[in-house]
Amino acid sequence: MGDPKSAVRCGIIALIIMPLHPHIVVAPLSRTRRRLLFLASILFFLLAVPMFVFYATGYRYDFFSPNATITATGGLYIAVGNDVGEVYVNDKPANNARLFRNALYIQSVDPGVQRLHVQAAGYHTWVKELPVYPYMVTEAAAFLMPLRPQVRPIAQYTTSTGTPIFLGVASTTVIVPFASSSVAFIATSSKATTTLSKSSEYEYIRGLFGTTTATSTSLITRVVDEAKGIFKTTTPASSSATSTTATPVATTTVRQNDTVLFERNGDVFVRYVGSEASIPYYFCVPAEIGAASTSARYQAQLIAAEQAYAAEQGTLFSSTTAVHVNNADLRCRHEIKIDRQWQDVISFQFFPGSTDLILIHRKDGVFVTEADDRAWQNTQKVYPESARAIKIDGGRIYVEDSGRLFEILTLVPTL
Amino acid sequence: MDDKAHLLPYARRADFHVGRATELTGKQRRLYRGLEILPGLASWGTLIGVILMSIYAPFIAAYFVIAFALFWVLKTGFLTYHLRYNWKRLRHHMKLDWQALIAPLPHDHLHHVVILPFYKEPTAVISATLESLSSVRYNHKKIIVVLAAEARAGAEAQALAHTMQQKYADHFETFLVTTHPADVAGEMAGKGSNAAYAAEQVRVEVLDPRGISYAHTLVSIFDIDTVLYPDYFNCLVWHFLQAKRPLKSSFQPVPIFNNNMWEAPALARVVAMSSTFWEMVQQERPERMATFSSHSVSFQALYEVGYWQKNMVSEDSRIYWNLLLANDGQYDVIPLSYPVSMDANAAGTLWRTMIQIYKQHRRWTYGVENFCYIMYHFMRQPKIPRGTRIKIALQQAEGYWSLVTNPIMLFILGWAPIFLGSPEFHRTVLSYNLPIVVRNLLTFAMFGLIASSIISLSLIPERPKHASRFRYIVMALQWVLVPATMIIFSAIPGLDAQTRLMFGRYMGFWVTPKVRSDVV
Repeated sequence: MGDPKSAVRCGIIALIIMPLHPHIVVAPLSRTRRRLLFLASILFFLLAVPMFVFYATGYRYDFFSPNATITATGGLYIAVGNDVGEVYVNDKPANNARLFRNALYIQSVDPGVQRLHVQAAGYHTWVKELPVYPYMVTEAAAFLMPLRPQVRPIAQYTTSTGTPIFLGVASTTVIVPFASSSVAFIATSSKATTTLSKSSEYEYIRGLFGTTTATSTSLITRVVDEAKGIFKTTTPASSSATSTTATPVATTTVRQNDTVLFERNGDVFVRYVGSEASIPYYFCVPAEIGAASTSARYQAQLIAAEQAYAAEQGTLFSSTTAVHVNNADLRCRHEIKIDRQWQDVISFQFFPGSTDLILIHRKDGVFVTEADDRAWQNTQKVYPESARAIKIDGGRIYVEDSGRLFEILTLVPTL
Repeated sequence: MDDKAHLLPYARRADFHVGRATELTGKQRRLYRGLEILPGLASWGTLIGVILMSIYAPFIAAYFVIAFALFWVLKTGFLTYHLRYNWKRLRHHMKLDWQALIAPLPHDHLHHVVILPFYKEPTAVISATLESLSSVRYNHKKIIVVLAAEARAGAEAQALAHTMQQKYADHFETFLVTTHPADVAGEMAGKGSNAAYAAEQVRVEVLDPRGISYAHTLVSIFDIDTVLYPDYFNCLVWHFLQAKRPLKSSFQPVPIFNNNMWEAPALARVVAMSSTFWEMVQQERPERMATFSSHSVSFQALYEVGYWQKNMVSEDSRIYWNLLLANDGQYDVIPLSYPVSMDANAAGTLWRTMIQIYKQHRRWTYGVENFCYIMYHFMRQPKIPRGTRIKIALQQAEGYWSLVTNPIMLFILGWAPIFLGSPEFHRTVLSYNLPIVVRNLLTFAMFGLIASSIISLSLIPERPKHASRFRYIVMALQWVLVPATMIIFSAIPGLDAQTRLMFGRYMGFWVTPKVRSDVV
C-alpha cells in the first residue's frame, strides 16, 4: 500500500536538490507568456476583423494621397472573350486585375463612370463606359473580333493531302479579297477532278445554305411583306435550327436558353423570358443612379424599352409598371433593342455559345453586336458586305460569298 | 469486506464508471442521453447553420467567414508558437543526461510496472517494444513487465506471449504474462478492460506478495508498438520526484508516430505527425491536457479509482477524468516533453491505409464520450471549484466542436455564401472579395505548415539505406496534404463518431492493425 511518509520525504529532498539545477530542465511555457500571447491575439483579432470586413466590402484608404480619406469603392468584372486582350480602365492598364471565375476582376475602382477598353493586336478594340457604384460590382463581357476578317475556305474538292482546291479559277484571282485565310488553299484554272476528293464537309455546308440561289432580303422588305399577310414566323428550338427552305424565309425569332431574339418594325430585339432571379446583369441597373450619368441614360432607355413593349402588348402603361423591380436595389427590363446602325438587317442569330452577342447579317456586312446597351453597343465586323448568307451549325459560323463557302473564324492565327 | 473500500470517496459512486446512458436509469439516464446528443447536435447545427446563413443571410455569413479565417490564422500562429517551443524543449530534453540528474535523488525505492496490452499484433512489433524496453538506461531489476494478452485472441497470442516471456524474463525484475478472459459481463472488449485486469493481476501476484508500496510503484501503460527512448524512466522518475503532488499526477510523454516513417505513405505520415504535433502543443498547456495513448501514473492513484474503465473506448483519456473527479479536482497531468515512438498507421495498400486511419481517428475522436462523462459528473462533484468545472467544460466543448466543424467550415463551407448567396449578394464587392480575402488569409496560415514541415523532418528516424534521399523532399512537401487530411481524417471521422453517439449507436473498440516489415 502507499506510504505517504516516504513520498513526502522524497518531495522534501527534491525541493532541496532542485535549486542546484533549476535551468537544466526547460519548463513548459509560462502561463504569463501564454496569457500575453493570447490577449495580444484577441486584441489583434478585434482590431483586424473590422478592417478585413471593411476592406472586403470595398472601403479603401489611400495612404499616399494628400487628401487621404476613406472611400467606398466598387469593382469591375470583365469577361474577355477568346481569352485575348488587355484591359484598361480610364486608359490605364488594369494591373490589379485578378483572374476570377474565367474573367478579370478589378477591385478598388472609384465610383462614377469609368471608361473601359479591351484591346489586342489584330483585333477590334472593345470600348465601353460603365457606371461603378460603391460596394457593387459592375459586370461586362468584352468581345474582340479580328480586325481583318479571318476565314477558312471550304472548297468542293480537296487534294489528297486535304488542302481545299478551287477549280476553274485563275491563279491570279483573289478568292478572299476582304479577309485572311487561316488555312492554305489552292486556286487553279484547271477543272479536272480525277485526282481530287470531294469534300463531304462542303456538301454538308452547301446543304445548309440550300441548293437555290437566294437573295438578300432586308427586314424592312419583310416587314412590308408581313403587312401584306404573307409573313411567316418560325420558332426554332435553338439558333442552329434555322430555316433551310429553298425560298429564304428569314428567321424572325430565335431562342437560346431563356433569351429570345426577334425583329419588330425592322429592328432586332433581345428579350429575356426566364425567371426574374436569373435575369442577366445587362438587363438591370441599380435603382440608385447617383453621379453615374451613363446609368441615367441607361435608365431612360430602360423605361423607353418597357413602354414600347407595353404598347405592343396592348397593356395599359403606367409609371408603376414601366419597370420591373425585382429587388430593392435593381431596376430591370426584359427587352433590349440591338443597334443596327441604321442599316437594313438581312438576318440575325445568336453568336455561337452566347446569349449576349448577336450575329447580324446587314447590307454592309456581317457583324457581331453586343446586347448590353449600357452606354453604346459595341459592334464589330466579321465579314464584309459580299456575304450572301450566313448559317450557324455546330457552333461554327459559315458564310456564302459569290457561290463559295467559308467558315468565319474569330481568332487571329498566332505567328 | 467492502470491495470499494480502497477507492476514493467519489470513486465509490455506482455511476463513477458509467460508460453510456444505457447503464443508467431514470432521470440520470435521460440526462446522460441528452449529453450524448449534445456534441453531435452542436456540430451538425453549426454546419447546417452556416449553409442556411449563406442562403438567407449571405452578408452575415460572409462577415462570419472572414472573421473565422482570421481566427484560423491567429490560432495557427498561437499553436505554432507552442509547437515550436515544445520542439525546442523536446530536443533539449532528449540531450539531457537524465540518469545523472536523478542520481542525487533517492529513487531506488521506486518500481516500474510496464503494462503492454496486445491483441494479435505480430512478433516483430512486440519484439521491437521489448527490445527497446530492455535497452533503457535504468535499473532493469526495478522494472516489472506485464505482457497483457487477450483470451479471445486465441492460443497463438498466448504462445507468443510466453515465447516473449522466456526470451526477456531475465532482463527484468519480473516478466508477467496475463490473459484477460473473454466475454466478461459489463466489459467492453478492448484495451481498458485488458489493462485493468493486468493491473489487478500485478497487484495480486507481484506487489502485495513482495510488499511493494503502491505509492512507490509507477505504472506505465504503453501501446504494444511503443518503442522507448533510453532515458524514459530516468526522465519519468525525475518528473515524479519533482512533482508538487506526485501521487496525484499522471505523466505524459510525447507520442511520436514515427517507427515506420520510412515505410508509411505520405498520407499516413502527415496524419501521424499531425497527431504528434497536437500532443506537443498540449505539452505546453498542461492545464488543458488529458492523458493520451502511452502514459505513466502511480499505482496508488490507479488503485484508488479502480484502474482503467472497462466499458468504453477511450480509456486512455478517461482515466485522467476518473482521477480528476475522484481527487476532487486536485489532479494534474505533467508533460514530460520526452518522446516515445509509435507506429504511424499504415497498411499494405494506400486504400487500406486510408481506411485504417479513418477508423483509428474515428476511435480517437469518439473520445467525445468523455465530454458526456465530464459534464455529467461536474453536475455531481461540488468539491471541484465551479470556476474550474466551467473552464474545463468550455475547453472540452470547444475542442470537440472545433475538431469537427473548423476544417469543414474553413475549406468547404467558407465558400458557401458565394455559391448559395442571393443574386443581390453576388453583385456586391463583398461577394467577389470574399474568396480573395479568405484565400490570402489561408495562404498566410500556411506558415504553420512550413513550421510543421521543418519540425517533422527533425523527428524522423535515421534514413534506412534502401530509402532514397529524395524522400526527404517528399517528406518536406507532404504537408500540402494537410487541408485534405484535416477534413478526411479529422473532421469527418469526428462527425461520424459524434453522430453515432448522438443516435445511440455506440462504438466498440477497434484494434488498429500493426504491420512491420523488419521481422526481428
